[in-house]
Amino acid sequence: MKRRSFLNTSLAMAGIMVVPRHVLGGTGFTAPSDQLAKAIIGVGGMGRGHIGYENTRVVAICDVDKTHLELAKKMIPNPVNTYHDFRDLLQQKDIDVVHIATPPHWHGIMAVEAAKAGKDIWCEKPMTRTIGEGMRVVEEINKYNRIFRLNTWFRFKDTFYGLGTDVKPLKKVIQSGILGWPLKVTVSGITGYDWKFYWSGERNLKPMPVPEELDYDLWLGPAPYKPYNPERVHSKFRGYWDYDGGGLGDMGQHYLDPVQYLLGKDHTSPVKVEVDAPEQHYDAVGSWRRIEYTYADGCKIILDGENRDKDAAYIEGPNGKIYRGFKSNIPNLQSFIETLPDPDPQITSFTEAVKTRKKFALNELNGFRSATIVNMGVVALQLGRTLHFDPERLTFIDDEAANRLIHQPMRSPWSI
Amino acid sequence: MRKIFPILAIALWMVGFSLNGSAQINRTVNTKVADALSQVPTRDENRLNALMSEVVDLKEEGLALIAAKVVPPGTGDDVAPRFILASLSKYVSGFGRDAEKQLVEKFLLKVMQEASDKDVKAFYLSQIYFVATDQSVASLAALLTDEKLVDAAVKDLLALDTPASKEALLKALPGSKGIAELALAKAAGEAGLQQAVPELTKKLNGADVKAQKVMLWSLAQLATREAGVVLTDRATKAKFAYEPTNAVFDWVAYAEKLASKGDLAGSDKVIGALLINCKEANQLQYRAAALAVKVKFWGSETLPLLLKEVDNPDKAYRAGVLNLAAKMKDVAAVRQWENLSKKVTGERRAEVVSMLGRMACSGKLDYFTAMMSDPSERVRVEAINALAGIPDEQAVKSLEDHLLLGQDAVETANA
Repeated sequence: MKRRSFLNTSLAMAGIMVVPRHVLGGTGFTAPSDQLAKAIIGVGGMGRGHIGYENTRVVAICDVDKTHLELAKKMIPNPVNTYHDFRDLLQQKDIDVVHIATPPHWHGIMAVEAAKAGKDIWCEKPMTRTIGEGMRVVEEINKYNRIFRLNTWFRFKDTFYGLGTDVKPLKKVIQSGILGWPLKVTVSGITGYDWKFYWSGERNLKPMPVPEELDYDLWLGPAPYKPYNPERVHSKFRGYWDYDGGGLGDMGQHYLDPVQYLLGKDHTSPVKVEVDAPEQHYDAVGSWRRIEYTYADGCKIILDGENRDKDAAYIEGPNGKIYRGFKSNIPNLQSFIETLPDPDPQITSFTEAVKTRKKFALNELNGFRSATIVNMGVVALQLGRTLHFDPERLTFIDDEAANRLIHQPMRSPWSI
Repeated sequence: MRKIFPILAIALWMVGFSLNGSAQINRTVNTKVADALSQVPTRDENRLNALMSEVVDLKEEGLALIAAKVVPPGTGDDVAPRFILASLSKYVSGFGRDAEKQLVEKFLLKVMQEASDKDVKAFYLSQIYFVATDQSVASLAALLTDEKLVDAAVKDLLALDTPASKEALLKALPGSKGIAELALAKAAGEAGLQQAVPELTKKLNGADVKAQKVMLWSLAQLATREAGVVLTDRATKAKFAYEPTNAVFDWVAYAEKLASKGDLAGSDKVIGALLINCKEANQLQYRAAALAVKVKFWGSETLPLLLKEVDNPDKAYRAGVLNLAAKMKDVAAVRQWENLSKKVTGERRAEVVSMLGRMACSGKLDYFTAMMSDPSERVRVEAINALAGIPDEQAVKSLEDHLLLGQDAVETANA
């Protein structure tokens, strides 16, 4: 008899009624002493969207754009300290958690600086702009004993965009082995994921005067200096390699992190990345047609930007397929799933992670690996060629130019 | 006279032929350049490689015609030539293209030096990044006093990472000021230039906070004894707490660098000082970091220290200690933690049981089963969770028995 069904039977026999914890404790109210004191760095659209998160109260905000700062301050009901420079914010002693909602070229530095200041971190995706920065974040978060989470959640809740299912039943199916091995996962509009190619940059930007409310030098930070143009900053930064990676950088970690989890690849990376794309501009990100990742055991992740394969399954193995809407060619799959054990539990409350000091479900370790999938793709696109990668040494094989894109020296005075 | 006339005619004909031939050749290069410019961006890797191969064959004459079309930002449409030159640097950086890479490097250096606009120079420097060899060092070194271009030049020299590139960085440091001083001070740490320590130490006095932060960081990376004296002094002046120059962080980094270089005695001295001085709530992240360095290099020798640290009143800090302890899975270490858990109570006991549970010690069934009878609910819950993680029928039996007692029903059922 399976463990789960035995225990259910035992409960019934013992006449024990299991009362969920939330019924006993009540919902909807968190005492102020249990709320985390939060600071938000970067209060543009995304950052302001984080003001109302449950179990937190905002005590400080920071932005290099005065208008963003003013807008955000008005949205916060309690008194809040405002900062221009995040280094000053980090000195505020009563901050428990720092929410990093800046463009990705800042994520690595800010995460490390926050760790040095003894703060826990909630970071926007992608975790970092380069593989090298990700390595440093992992080192310092662990050394300084900080709790880190990424702001994506599809490995533990919510239906996947258009896929039409939560992750848990998918994980159970894969763990069961019924699909066979290796597996191929296709991420495309057909399987429920559209790639946002509208995050492509403009190629011939004209220098323009910097608006008075913006500290452009601090906005750029570690990124190479290029003359100001409004196309570069705020919501359009995704279109430029210096700050992000276009649609792949924007949505890649949302789409790919659950895939990594499903395949059980949280501790490794693909060994090959192949791109089918037009020649990329050195500054402005362009579109691509297909990116294919291969793991050492033969598992593949296909990013199909053109929705070329109209019959694509989301997950395909030698013995079965699962399509969008959880359709499958395996008979009686749903009944089969009900007999399967649950995956290992995950901590999905950031507050709980902070208080218990146990790693959040999507932390710096597995987050680094899914960000590395994104960043490998970015490097391959920029160089326009297939690349081979060593997931242990975290280097590209026989490609010095690719390795020069792993650790990219930063504009002074910034380092990580 | 009659003999001269035919000779003259032939000579004139030959000159005419030669001029016409040159014109043909020049038109061919111009045509090829125009063809290349009209093809970007190429559709895929094969077409890109084919085009880049043709562009390389244009040699310097053709490349110069392309570069002549690169203009300062906002003054014209130079998308196509920039596309070609940027793709070219990446193409020749590929495996097995050393001869082409040399040609392109030499060319990029030339046009970079000839360009009058600094944004255009910066563009070329960003492409030299992919192809730089020692051939580039002199040209890059010449830019190390230029406030607008020093970062790009330093970036290329750091990527190169040869004795010559390091020498150039080192030589430029003493006389540097402003942005150049920051860039070179940072580069000294990134490039491992230990000979830069005296200069960095000298510059530290009188530097502003931003510069001090950079210099202290570099001193930590360089990790010489002299650097250590400065870092110890600065951490002490910072009262071993966080402040904008990050002195204490750099002191921890210094300890780690010493250990990684084999100077365990030196590292241990710093770690010891960190543990003595970092006890307040706002210093515990440094205490945790010091322990992490200790565990990394001393391994299980750190166990007695970790066992004592469980006494610390700060819960978050204790969690960090136990995270480090969870890495030591040998029987002796596990037994010591087990013994400690019986001496401490309440929250601390629960934390130790949780840590042991994370190790998934299948040989500890009796221990976790006994902990399920602890008076503290927290301890019992952690013991339940620990048993749930052990793939053993006896663990299931223990959970069943506990369930039937009627206590902790929710947790046991979930487990």
